[in-house]
Amino acid sequence: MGATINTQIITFDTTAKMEVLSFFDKTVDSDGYLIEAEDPTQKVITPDGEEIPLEKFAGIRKGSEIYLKNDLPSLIELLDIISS
Amino acid sequence: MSGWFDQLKEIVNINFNLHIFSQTHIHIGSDNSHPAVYNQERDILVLNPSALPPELNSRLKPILQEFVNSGDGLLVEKRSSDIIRDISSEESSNREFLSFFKGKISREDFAALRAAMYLNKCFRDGSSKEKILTMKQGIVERYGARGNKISNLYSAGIFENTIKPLYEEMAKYAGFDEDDFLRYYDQIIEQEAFTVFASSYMTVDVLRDAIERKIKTNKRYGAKYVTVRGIGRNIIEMITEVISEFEMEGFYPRPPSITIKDNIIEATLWFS
Repeated sequence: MGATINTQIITFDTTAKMEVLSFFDKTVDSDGYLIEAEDPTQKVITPDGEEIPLEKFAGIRKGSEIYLKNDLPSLIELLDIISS
Repeated sequence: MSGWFDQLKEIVNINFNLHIFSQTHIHIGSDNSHPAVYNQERDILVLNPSALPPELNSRLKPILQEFVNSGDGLLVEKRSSDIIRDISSEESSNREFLSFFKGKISREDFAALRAAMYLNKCFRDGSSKEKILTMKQGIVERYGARGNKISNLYSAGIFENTIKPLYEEMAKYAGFDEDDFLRYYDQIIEQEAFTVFASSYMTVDVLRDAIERKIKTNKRYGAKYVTVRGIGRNIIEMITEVISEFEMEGFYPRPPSITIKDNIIEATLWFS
């Protein structure tokens, strides 16, 4: 608890989300959910199998690209991962 | 630091005459007018992809992909990154409290407790109602109604002033069984909405007033009882005194149930 963050971090503005997603060949569908740019039928999901609306998209981490949500429990989990 | 950094360093050096270092923080912005800006004082490089020439923008893509996929790093929204650091800082300040509960309650409850702690910190700091609501929603979505109760109990000081002392009191006695604590603990969580927690800060009148208000609330939501809990000799005496007063006023349709064990009192009053 209150551990040192051991992971290198690159941050992005909230307004730069679409740019960031484009670097990973992702985009957003008409309902505002992250999808594969090459296959719009394929939604991007978290490791828990949840779809990600753009406003909840927090970032990407290693391991064949794990997509992150910005709700409080997810951010606490992320803290544990990057501190370990 | 891997090849991605060297490639990035080369791009900004050659194209923008900027010099970055291994510890330079990289931030991706959305300013259309400046492709790359380096703040020497804060050692931050801001890249604005929308302002980059197409050939440089396309070179950024494999660099960021390598950054993420190499395992070196995390690409995260600034706002979320700030929250993570804030959570870490808050937990540092409450290390002893969190260490106490880690391993004593379930992993899920402990995770909910950590979330409740941060939520409470934001509330104290004056965060917007919208932000508080969103965080609370996140807790409920992940941990359900139990998470909501844990959050309420934490912000009411029950974890610090009742549950922790409860464990400490019970642990004093020979034959202490953690499962007994967990039974009490589960009851506290489950009955959160219907319970008054008596503390040493209360007078008899304050406690009585709290019980009466809880009765009003509980009736409104269809509950037929209120539970009163407390720890310690003085609080046990105070609770029994208040209950006696209610009894003399002919308050109950049936006698209250009172359990006192190991300096811990639990009283249930039925009012209909």
